[in-house]
Amino acid sequence: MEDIPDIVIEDVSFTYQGSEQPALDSINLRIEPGEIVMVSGPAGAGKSTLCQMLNGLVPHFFRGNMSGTVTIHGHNTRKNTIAYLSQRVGLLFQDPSAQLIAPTVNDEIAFGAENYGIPRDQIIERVEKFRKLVRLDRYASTSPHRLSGGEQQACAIAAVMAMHPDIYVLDEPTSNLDPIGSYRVLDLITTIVRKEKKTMLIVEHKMEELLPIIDRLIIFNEGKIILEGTPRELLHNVQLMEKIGLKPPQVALLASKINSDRFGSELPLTLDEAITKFKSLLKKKDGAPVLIDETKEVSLGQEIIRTESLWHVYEEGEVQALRGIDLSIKAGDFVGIIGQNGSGKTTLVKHFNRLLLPNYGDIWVMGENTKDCTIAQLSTQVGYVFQNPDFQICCQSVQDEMEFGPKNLKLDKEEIERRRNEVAKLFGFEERLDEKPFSLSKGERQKLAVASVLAMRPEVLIVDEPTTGQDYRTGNEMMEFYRSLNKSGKTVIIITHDMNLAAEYCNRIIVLRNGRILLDGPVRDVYSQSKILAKSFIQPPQITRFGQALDKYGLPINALNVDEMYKHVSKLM
Amino acid sequence: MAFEYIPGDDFFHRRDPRTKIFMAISIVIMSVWFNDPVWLISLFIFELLILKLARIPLSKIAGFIRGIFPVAVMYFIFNLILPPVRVADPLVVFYLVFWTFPPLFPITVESVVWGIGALFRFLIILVMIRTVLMLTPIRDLILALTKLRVPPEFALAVSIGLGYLPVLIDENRRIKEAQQARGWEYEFRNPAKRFSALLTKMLIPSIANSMRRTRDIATAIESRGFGYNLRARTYLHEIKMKTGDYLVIFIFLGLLLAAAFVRGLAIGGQFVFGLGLADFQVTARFVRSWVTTPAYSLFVSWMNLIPWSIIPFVNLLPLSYMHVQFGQYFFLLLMGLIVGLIAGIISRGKSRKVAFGINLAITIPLFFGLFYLIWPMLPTTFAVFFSLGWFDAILAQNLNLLIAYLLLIFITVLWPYTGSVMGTIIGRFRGGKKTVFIPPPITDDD
Repeated sequence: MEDIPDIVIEDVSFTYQGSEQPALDSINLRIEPGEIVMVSGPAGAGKSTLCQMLNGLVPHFFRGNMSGTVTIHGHNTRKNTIAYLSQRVGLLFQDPSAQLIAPTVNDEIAFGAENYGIPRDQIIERVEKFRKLVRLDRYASTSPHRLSGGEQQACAIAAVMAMHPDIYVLDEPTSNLDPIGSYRVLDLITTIVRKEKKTMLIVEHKMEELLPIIDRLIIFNEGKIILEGTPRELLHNVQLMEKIGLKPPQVALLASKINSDRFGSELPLTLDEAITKFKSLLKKKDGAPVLIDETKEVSLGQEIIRTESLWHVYEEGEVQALRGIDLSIKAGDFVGIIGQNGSGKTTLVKHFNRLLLPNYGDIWVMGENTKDCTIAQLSTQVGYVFQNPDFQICCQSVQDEMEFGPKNLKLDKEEIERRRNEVAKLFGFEERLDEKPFSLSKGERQKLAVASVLAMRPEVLIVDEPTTGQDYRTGNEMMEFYRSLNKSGKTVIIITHDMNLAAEYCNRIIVLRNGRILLDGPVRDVYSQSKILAKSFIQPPQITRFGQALDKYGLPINALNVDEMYKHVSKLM
Repeated sequence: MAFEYIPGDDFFHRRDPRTKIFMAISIVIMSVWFNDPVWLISLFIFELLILKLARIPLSKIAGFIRGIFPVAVMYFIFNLILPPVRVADPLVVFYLVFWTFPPLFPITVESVVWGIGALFRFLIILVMIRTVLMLTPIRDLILALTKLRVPPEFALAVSIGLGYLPVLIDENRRIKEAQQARGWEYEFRNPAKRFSALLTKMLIPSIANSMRRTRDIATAIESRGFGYNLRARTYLHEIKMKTGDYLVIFIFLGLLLAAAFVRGLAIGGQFVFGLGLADFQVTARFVRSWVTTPAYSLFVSWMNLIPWSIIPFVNLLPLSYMHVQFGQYFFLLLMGLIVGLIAGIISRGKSRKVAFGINLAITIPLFFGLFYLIWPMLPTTFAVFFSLGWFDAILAQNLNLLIAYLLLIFITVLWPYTGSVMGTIIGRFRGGKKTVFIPPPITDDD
């Protein structure tokens, strides 16, 4: 058996029914037993199609035109059922809650084994074993839907493991999770790799944590494999990675910037590697830690949002979501609100447009207590872009969607048209006004959602998770848009889990923890306090941590990006 | 949650789900067999006893009954007005539409007795279903269904559907918020308007999301091998009939037989077997006999402020007419309470002054409305007044009508207060709105 490769993909192309563009285009791939392969690439590159092909979902469930052959352990996927192939290939999906189907964690883990008719005593054994492994022992008979995102994904992993597959296929297991959740899941994946020694194919964007365990990195773009090799080989070409929209580890970027000769083919890939490497290159220095004192230039206007000892409780005081928030936000600011799930971020911003009212304390928006306004009145001042555009889009055409808000305001016809044209132009929808929103791509739907909020002409724009579920490029594009909006004088408030994003775009960061403000201040100040941040399990960007680890060597402890760090390091070397 | 399972490890919790289903079905059958409130109330108490033995806090059931109360009341009123069983020679208590001639919608002793029975049957059936759900995890019920030859696909669909309920509720809230954040208002007082607003603006995102979710779930269960070999499918949980289960089934079979005997079996309208005891007409007859006793007429005469027994003209009035009159006062009082309730609900949380205003605003038109309903009787009243003189008129039972007016005025004046008092009571009853939240001190800040 050892001689047969686990996965053989021979000249496979696949086009979804009703689509013209092939999702996969002449793919050839061979994965040997025990190999850990990471697949990366921008959205729409065909990564998910590849995953679904391995257990037969493509072409048995998602139909289309498929050529070439996929062989799992010598079994042709076209000639075997999904259920048969799934015994060998365990597939984990991106959205944790969408794949949990049983009433309790125990049943969830047992489900696969039950389907394969495994004897009951063995099922019990497996359930116990894997529930322990993923550390969900406390929740044996809890509904999986009541768990946090990270726990849900852990439960889904246990459910896949309990089927005893030979090959694990993980399709972006962490992209819907908060930092604690992703940390937990990535840690779990590492454990599985070390313990089980099974073949694994992981689709991921977060390279930093996974690099130490990966044997091979494959980069997809537009349905094709464009790069393939060991991480070290590929990451050497940092510029190319950036060009195709992938985020190499920041320390690798830094090292490649300094001088590739110094590192040869041995670019540091992880933080630890980089620290050891740079310790040998730099000299120890005494004195106070170095601080970068450049601050972003912002001219702030009047106070537009103010809260005073704001409390919000759910379920008759059982859950205290916000506990005495005192806050003041001035016009023109770019604020990032960070914190774990359940720390009160969303509850807080929902007070800004009165979707929620405080149980205690007060909140003023533009000088008016929200108690005395209606949500409709506030909607012209505070715009709220929800994380999932599909919850928002409610009209039959792009045009109707953009006019929805202004129509609710009962504006006159010309004004509605003016505003619609304005936002359509902003996002390039001028020619596509009659299209159906659900025929747009996910990125375009996100843009449409933002456009329809901007048609209300709000002074403040709240964006919940601006980049989640989008690839690097679309995410960047949207963030640049918010930046330009901010430059034109609007206040932007984002809720995010992405620390690099916050570092890059925000002027001010508010860290919430258990419904209290843990830290509040300019980005640079907040990130330099990594000890306090650690209480909330938040890590500053890798490059900031790098500086903090080497503060005795004269590196700044509050660098926000690779360029800043590079300036300092190059002076020292 | 509507499907909350309350864990426990007593005799009833440990029973096989099939036993519990059998228990539920036999109680439901008994409740359908009986229509007599006395028997149905006993059955209800028996049900509560099972709950007590299963160590389920009665407060849970109280909360549940509170939840279904409005529906139960509607059901009761419906049965009161239109009892599905016709009885020969019913005793009318009062007419719902008493201002017309002839009066319409009689409420009879028989229909009240029937209605109370129906109300308890309604409660028994719903509480029984709830009890089974509290005693058994959904998963076990589904497993029992599969054992009872329900296809596993169906069982899985039910189980997934129930599991996703909280997810769906959360999703609906998000969709609503996303529209509200763009100035959309859906909280119209008019239910039709509200319904159409909700329908049009929530339907599209809901459909889009449910389509996506259906696809996600389908791929998830396919990827986990569902349908590999449904016949050979094994189960993590096992359900097994034990001695206790057979015992419970035996007892309930016995109860069913006993119930059949008590109720009696009739073929072609003739009792062929059993006692024929548990018929509501038995109780109705009993109530009737009580209603027509001297003690009751004393009570009625007290209501009319005149001691009938010492007035010589008493025999002029047929007794049954008194019931009708008495019933009408009762009806007016009831309407007063209902209006008070409505006023109370509307004015809840408002200041005392505002609440009084609201109540007054509701009451005054209502007073004139009721007056309008009664006025056809006025000529008769005056005619009797003029022909007999006021004393005789009073004696001629027109006092009843006079009292009706007085009562009407009295209630009208009192309504505003009834409103706020009822408001407070409702507030308590529904767990109430938290008046002021006082934040506790923060202890874990570091």
